[in-house]
Amino acid sequence: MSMRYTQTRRHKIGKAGWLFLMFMGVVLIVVLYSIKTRALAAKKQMSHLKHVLQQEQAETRLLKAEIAHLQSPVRLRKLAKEHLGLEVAKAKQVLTLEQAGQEIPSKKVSDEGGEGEQ
Amino acid sequence: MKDLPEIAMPEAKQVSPLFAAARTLNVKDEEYCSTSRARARIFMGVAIFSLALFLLIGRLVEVSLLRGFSFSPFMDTNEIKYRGDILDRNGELLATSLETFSLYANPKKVWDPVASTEAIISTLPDLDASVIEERLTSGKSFVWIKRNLTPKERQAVFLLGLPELSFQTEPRRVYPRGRLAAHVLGYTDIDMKGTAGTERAFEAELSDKSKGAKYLSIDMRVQFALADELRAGIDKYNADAASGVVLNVKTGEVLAMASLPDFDPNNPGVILPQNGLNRASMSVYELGSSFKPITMALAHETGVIKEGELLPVQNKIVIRNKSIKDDHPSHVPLSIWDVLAKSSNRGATLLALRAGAEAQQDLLRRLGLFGRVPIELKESAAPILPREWQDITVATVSYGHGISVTPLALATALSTLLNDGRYIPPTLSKRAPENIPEGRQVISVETSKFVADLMRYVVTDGTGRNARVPGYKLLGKTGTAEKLIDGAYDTKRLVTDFVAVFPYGDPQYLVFIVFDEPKAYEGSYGYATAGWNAAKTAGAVVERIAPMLGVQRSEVTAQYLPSGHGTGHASGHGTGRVH
Repeated sequence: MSMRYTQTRRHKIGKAGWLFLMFMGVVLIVVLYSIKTRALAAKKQMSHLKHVLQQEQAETRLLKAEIAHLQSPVRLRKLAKEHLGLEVAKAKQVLTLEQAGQEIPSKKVSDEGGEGEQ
Repeated sequence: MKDLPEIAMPEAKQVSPLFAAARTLNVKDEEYCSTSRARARIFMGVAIFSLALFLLIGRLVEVSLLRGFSFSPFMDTNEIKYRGDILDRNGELLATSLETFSLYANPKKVWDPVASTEAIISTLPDLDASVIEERLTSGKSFVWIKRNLTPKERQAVFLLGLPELSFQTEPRRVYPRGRLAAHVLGYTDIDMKGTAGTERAFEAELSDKSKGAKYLSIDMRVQFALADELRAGIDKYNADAASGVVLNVKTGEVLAMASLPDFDPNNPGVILPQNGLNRASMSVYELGSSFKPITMALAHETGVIKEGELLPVQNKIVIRNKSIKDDHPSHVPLSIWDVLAKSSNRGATLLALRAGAEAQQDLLRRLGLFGRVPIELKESAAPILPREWQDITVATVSYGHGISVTPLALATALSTLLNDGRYIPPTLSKRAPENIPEGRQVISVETSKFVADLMRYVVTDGTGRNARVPGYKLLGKTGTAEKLIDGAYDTKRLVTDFVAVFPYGDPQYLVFIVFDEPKAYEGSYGYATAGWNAAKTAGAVVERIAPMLGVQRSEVTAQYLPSGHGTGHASGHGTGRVH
């Protein structure tokens, strides 16, 4: 009688174990699926950001090229000549501060007017 | 209970007594049979359903869990080809890649090729209608219509709404400074592959994403000043072409390299051959008397001239029935100082003959004049050397005839003479101080100083006086050569050049200017020799670039200051031997 009872009990425990394992399997599958879905969404987001980054980089390159074009020596010289009347500096026009002090005469500046002997 | 099944009983008489106990009894239970059949059907149904369910779950697991990330959005596959920017030594942008849209068509989707062609031509009138129609009727799945469209062109095509037309993003190489340093930069083909200049020379480096932008040795400001003065020189001296090089004598870096006429690398398809030619590194010339500093170095190095010795240049020199002549014949013997300052061919000949052919060839070889310049550019021509090295060859080569080299080659050789005799291979890559090659010693430091003194004297008292720049003590040498036309020298077609090196005392920068067939102009007294054109241009270049390069002036003048307080004296007017 007791032997038969033990066999039935074991059978029930085994059945419950199988059910538990199946349940855990289903839970794991659901969790895994959820993680994968999130990863996929993250990858989509990353690709989108990458695309935006590429666009921004392309814009930056375009702006840099425009700046380089606007700062082109030929263009700057033309503008300087037309609007400011500037010419290429001659060597004789270049002086150091020390040399300038010798070349340019001192000028008397009054105290009232904020000027003095320099 | 239904009727019992029929029991077959064999007759006892017919059965052997031995097998009487093994008689068979067949009982047929119809209910049991039908139940068994039903169970079997149910079992089969369950099995099939289970199998289908199992397959379904298996597939679900495979799709949702086991399959890898196969998602690839369009932006990843549409990534454009990488090509690094090119910058000058100070980080100024010289070349970059921009995204453009290229137009292509699927001819299989075209309903009416004629109408489609008309529509395309109406928006892109520079295309050939017959070519477009031919492409649209080709039956292929993909044909290019036009590549690298401008945003305006793209919008116009977009508005056509033709289903057979599509756009593809493609990179395009752009040179925002236009013609500046065009020959140095070169250009790429439609597939962004370098085909000339540094674009070609540094192809692997520019294509490697990990390398980043490429820094050249070029200084954009110096490059512009050089090209600007060369252009002004061509206009003033009515020359056919011009070229120039600015070298850092200490590091071998090419700070500027210009060749005129030039081109716009943004439109490589329309470059004329004569414009595309980099005359600084690809054209070989007999560069004339600018070879004489090499002869002077040869004489000093071999000890064939004594201190204070005068060379009998007033006497005729005839070698193999060929007379060596001077442009400005002297009636008195000249020292080695005046041989160079007055650019005496006879003096150079005498010195070279004393040194001998072997020593002369050896020095030229060690200066790198017997081979192409080892620079990164593919556009670097080999020299044209004499077939035989006879005494007449020694004589003509001593004053820069009978041997044709590129301006870059001679500039490199002369920078070696003035860099304490050390040869540093030239480069177009920016060199960090720790990466400057040691080079090789070609002549002694003493000879180098001697040559520098001689070249300073050329500028103060010789043919290079027109190159003088107030405040900057230049070294220099003029060179004028007649062009060899159909085997004979044409006295009216000249190549003139000038080498200027500064500052005197510690030479750091070398400027080499070449004019191809300059003409006499008002104020040149009918002369078209180097002193009247190349020297002036070299001086103008030095005047502009020396402050940029941080070279301090040695003397002060203030001629242009207001109120007339300047001293009015320019440097370099000394009368001594060396200043």
